[in-house]
Amino acid sequence: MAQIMGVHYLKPSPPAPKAVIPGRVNSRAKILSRIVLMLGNVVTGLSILGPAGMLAELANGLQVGIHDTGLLVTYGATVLCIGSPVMAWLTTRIDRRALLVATLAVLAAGQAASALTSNYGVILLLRIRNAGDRCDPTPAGRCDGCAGRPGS
Amino acid sequence: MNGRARSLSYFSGWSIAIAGGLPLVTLIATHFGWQAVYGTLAAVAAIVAALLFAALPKGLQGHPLSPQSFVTVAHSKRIMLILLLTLLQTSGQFTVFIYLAPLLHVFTGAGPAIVGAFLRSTVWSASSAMWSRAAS
Repeated sequence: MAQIMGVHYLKPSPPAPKAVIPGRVNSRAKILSRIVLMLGNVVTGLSILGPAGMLAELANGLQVGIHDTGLLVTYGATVLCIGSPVMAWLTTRIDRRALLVATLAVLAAGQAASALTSNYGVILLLRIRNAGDRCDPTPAGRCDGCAGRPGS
Repeated sequence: MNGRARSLSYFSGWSIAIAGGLPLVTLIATHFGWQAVYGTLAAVAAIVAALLFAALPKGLQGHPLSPQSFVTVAHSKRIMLILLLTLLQTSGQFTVFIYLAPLLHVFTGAGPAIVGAFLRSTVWSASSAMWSRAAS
């Protein structure tokens, strides 16, 4: 019939085959990895900005002024600003998973150490050191774009 | 999801940290002290490290970055302009943001509950604007 009418509407052309990328991880794993990467960014962001949410408590606990407490964020941010591009370059050839896992593990250790001290100087040093560590996740997370091709 | 929305979903971690996380930090710090906040962050970071290990495939590599990449960026007028704008916007935002809680307290006598709500509302509006832009 389609032939008679000269219109091929009964036989639609088959849809173009989807491009198959070798080594592509399945989509559920991709979504999961994206959520976990985002969680990594949440905890990184929180450790940088955390003092902003508890300035008064920190100032009281460490027996310093609000000004000095605010500096905790300032120093951390300064290290982050300079360190981020440098670390992105230095760690460019390291396996992303190993890099991110190690970064978050060191961050956890730093936060735990901060919880156990009540000395402003120690917290400040920990924040500076930790900020150097935090330089990794955001640039490293860019590997989202290459998440579909491991080992490439 | 297109590439832009994908990277936004990842980078929105920062917005979530501010919108959902900071009020939580205020809450925990008020009730259990600032050490509890650091302890919680340590635990969450450790959990996320384990999740990353489980969720990410092995052997993932980023696009290699060389010192030359920075030179390329420095030569691009458009990128430098965007960087400058981001610098100004972020410095302006965070200069006030960090001291928002004590400022609110001094000027309006706001307690932790109000400060938490204020932080939330500020960032919710900003991040919802970002999401609607990404979706369009």
